[in-house]
Amino acid sequence: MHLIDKELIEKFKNQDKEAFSEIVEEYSERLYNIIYKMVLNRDDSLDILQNTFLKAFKAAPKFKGESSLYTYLAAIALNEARERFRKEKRFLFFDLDIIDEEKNIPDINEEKEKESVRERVNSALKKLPESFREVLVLKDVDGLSLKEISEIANLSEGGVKTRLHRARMLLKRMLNEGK
Amino acid sequence: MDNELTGKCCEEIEAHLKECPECRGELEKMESILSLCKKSRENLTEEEKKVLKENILNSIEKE
Repeated sequence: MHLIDKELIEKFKNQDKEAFSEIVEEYSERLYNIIYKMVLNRDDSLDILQNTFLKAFKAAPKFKGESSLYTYLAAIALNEARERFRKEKRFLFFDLDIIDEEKNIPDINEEKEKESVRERVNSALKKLPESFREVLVLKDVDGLSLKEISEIANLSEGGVKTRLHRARMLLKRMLNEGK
Repeated sequence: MDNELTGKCCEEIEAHLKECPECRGELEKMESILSLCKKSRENLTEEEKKVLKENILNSIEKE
């Protein structure tokens, strides 16, 4: 994996197109993953991903380097995802009384295992409130630290821990109900 | 579980887990859920990556 070094970040701040192209290549799939887990739709995710990079490029001279470049991009991506929810009024309210009946996941062969895991996790994620889903995706799907999540979500580390704990408990319940 | 605890607190939890099958069971359940989350990664196809990069670079050029 190519590491984003200081020189590349300086070039990014100067809106160097070649350097930006490297950054797009490096981070597109990782960002796509967290965006998808938030909006759970392929076309929307690709659109948000593209907007994320365009916004990041426009704002590049303002990047102070206080957080990592990835954290900076992830924060833009999540803002874009939140806006998309608002515009399309697709807030996913959490209400235990109206949980859809989960389909059973049948026994599957090895080739289809990954797809089945994705379906199962995504289906459970869909039922989490947006703020819970966000910390869970950043921590347990993407692997960011509590400190990095606190920067992105604008919460204290303690606040992230509390929300993460609740989100995990809910996810566990949703996955169990989906069996 | 998150590798976020250190020192005495971590040691105390580990000691408790050794003695408490109930908590150990809960931890194992949660670890298997977290493992599912990690395995659920979404991927872009090579074609999608190529188109994305082209679109982004074209938009930047136009500005």
